Amino acid sequence: MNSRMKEAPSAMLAQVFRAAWLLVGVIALAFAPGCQNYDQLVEKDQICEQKWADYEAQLQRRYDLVPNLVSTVKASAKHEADTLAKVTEARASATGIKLTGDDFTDPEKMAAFQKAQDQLKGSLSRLLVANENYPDLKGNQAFRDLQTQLEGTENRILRSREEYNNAVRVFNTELKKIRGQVINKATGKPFKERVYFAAATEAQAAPKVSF
Amino acid sequence: MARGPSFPRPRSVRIALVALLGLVTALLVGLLPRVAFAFTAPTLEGPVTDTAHVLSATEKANLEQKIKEFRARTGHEVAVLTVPTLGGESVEDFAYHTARAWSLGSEKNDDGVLLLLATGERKIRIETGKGVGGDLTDVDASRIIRDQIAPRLKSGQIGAGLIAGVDGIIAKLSGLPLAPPPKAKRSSTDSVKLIASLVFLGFLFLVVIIQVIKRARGGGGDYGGGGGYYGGGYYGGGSDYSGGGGSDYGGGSSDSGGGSDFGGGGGDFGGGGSSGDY
Repeated sequence: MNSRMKEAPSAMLAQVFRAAWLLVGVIALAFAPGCQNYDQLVEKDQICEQKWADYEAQLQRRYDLVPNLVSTVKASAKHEADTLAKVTEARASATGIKLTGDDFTDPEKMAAFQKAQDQLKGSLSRLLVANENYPDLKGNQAFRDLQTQLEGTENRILRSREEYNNAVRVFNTELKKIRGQVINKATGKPFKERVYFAAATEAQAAPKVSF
Repeated sequence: MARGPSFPRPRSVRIALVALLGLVTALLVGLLPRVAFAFTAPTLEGPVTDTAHVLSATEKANLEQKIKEFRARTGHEVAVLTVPTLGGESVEDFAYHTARAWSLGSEKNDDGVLLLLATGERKIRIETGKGVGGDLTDVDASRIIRDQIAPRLKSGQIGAGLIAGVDGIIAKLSGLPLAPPPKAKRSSTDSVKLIASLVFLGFLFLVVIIQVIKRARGGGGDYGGGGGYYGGGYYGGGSDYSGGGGSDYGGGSSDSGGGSDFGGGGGDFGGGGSSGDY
């Protein structure tokens, strides 16, 4: 070795350089897909965020409809003061819970959020059922329109929940893949699994038949 | 798959097991929500997909012409689907998943509309893409169903009902008001007609009395003074809808069928629209 160094120091240096470059190349090759994977996680996380925002926009539509609905019903259905109070109460507690940041990965917080929303939904549907007893209301065009809007909003909420769950599925799957796990560990675990919405009770009750 | 935690095994095996577990979980998580939506949308045949076979050739051609003309003018894609049964799905699920599968409307504007009729369940739904929900609101959709479509379907005029529905959708998306509902229109004109004929009868009675008195007095008579009333516009009201196979619908049969360029634009919908039954 000593003799070789004496023989051709420049050739030795070139060899070291070549080895170094090779190492850099190998490292780059190893990391390139990793970076790509990291970017994918970021992107899929962002899609979840966006779907959540869509969902919140639909919830806002529901919040906005409640006062109108309450005042319309109040005029015609005087015996429903109790039902109306429950709706207003449920709306207040639902608007009180806002999820941010790490909350989406916390099953308890998601469950509490979902429970508040389900309560609002439940109290609203009880109100609509109770209103069947008031012919005055059923014939009221403004009430019918509000009811239609509420139905439409409930359906949109359902769809945006599905969309959110789909986005979460894509993100969680990416994160659970080996490469996703490795990248997440290597970068200090910035990503956590997001929590799904549990299926709504009525969705479970409805039989799904494929054909 | 018996895995004792105390059983000593080389590191590589453990890693492989963890990896396998991760893969299986990922697969399961990936599969589960898909199983819940085992729904196959009907095959898109063009602007009008009449799998329930409730439309005559003329009605179908008329609908297709309207839809194509409207799409050429505005870019909005309206599709009509009739099915004999929803197969246990809710009308909302059926319409939403079909509209998404057909990818109606453009990806950029999400401006597709699906008018679905399920003859078995007697249900109607108008599903709107997110981009048309402003002009064709849920309330509009509900009114179209309640006032335009349902009354005609109730009287058995399925083709006329769907045509009126598409007319309503197109009117709303063009910023125009809806046509008055056929039933309400008829009943309101009925009362007008009743009053008019009462007034007329009273008038006639008066004329006759006067004539009788005149004649009794010996004056010359001119009978039948106001006879022209019955020919008036009252009875013509609403005929532009109830026509069914009326002659004004027979026109454009130039390009029916051939829906290969229809749908698939990328609209993804968001649950907008309204449902009703008849």
